[in-house]
Amino acid sequence: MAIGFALGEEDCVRLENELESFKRGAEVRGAFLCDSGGNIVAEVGKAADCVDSVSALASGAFSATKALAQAIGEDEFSSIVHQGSKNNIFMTAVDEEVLMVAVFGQETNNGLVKLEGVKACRRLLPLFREILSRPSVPNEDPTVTFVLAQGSLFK
Amino acid sequence: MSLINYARKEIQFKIVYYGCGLCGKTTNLQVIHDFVPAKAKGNLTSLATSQDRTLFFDFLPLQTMAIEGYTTKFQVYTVPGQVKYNSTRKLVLRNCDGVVFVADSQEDKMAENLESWQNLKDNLSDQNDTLEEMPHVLQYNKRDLPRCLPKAYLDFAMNKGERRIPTFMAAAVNGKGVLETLNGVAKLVLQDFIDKH
Repeated sequence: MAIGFALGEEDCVRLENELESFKRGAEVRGAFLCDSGGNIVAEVGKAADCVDSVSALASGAFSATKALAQAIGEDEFSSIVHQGSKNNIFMTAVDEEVLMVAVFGQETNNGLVKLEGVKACRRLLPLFREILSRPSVPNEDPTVTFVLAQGSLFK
Repeated sequence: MSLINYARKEIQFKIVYYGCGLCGKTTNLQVIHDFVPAKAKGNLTSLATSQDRTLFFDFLPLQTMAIEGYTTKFQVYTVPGQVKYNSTRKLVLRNCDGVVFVADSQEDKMAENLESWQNLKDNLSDQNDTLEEMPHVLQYNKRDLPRCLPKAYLDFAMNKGERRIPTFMAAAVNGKGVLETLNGVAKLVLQDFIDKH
């Protein structure tokens, strides 16, 4: 069973800096990175009121689209844009496990978002390869231990 | 697949409710959403058909302080139970950290329970996981209905392995046993996480 990955403070700063640079360049309202399970990895700006839900839906939609691509003989559709009358959403795979999602309005255009998205993915890919290739328990602070809190979790 | 963010002091887990069609998976999430205080939950999202059958998944984000010093987030999903949606079930099951198998206790649903139980094992195997290594619990649901099978019979059919799976009796539609089940699987997921870290 996969036991997940861990982000240190330095990882977060590097990922958020790249994401912020994409947000400024593409002029999007908000952007986030999530894993294939829908967990948010990094976030800048304000993509939505409930980003957790958007992240779960985006990872589900992207996985479904990938299966759709394979059903017609493609490996994957590397990016997807859904256009609305006021708001739009852009999704692209950074690698197999990570997705970048951006929400934008009329202040920018699809072409710019896609172009900046491709550039951002090129910068993010080596960072994720490094993070995912590390052992799951980070060595940066050997004093870190996890202790269960007492009592019922949900009442 | 758990995700630890040391900068935000946050840990995220994914829990999936699995089971045959109409066994009460979505009802479980609706009850959890009703019971859990507003500060500990996000929106309940359901991707369902016009007949209220789950088409893709239901999703409910929850958060608690289960691990000292860290905000612990549980992303809770259901799968669509109908046999034809197996490819969707595989997608939802990806990278999960714990499973609740919801069994319908009615006598005439036993064959469907067992088919779904086997389907869960097959789908985990396809993603190189096994049920034995995955934290999981069994919920015997619909205990309020007549003609429901005795617990001993359900245990004999689904819980006769070397290691007994924690079981919870529930009538999700009345809210009974729902939070107990959630707490049960959450504790197993957390213990598994702590054992591995």
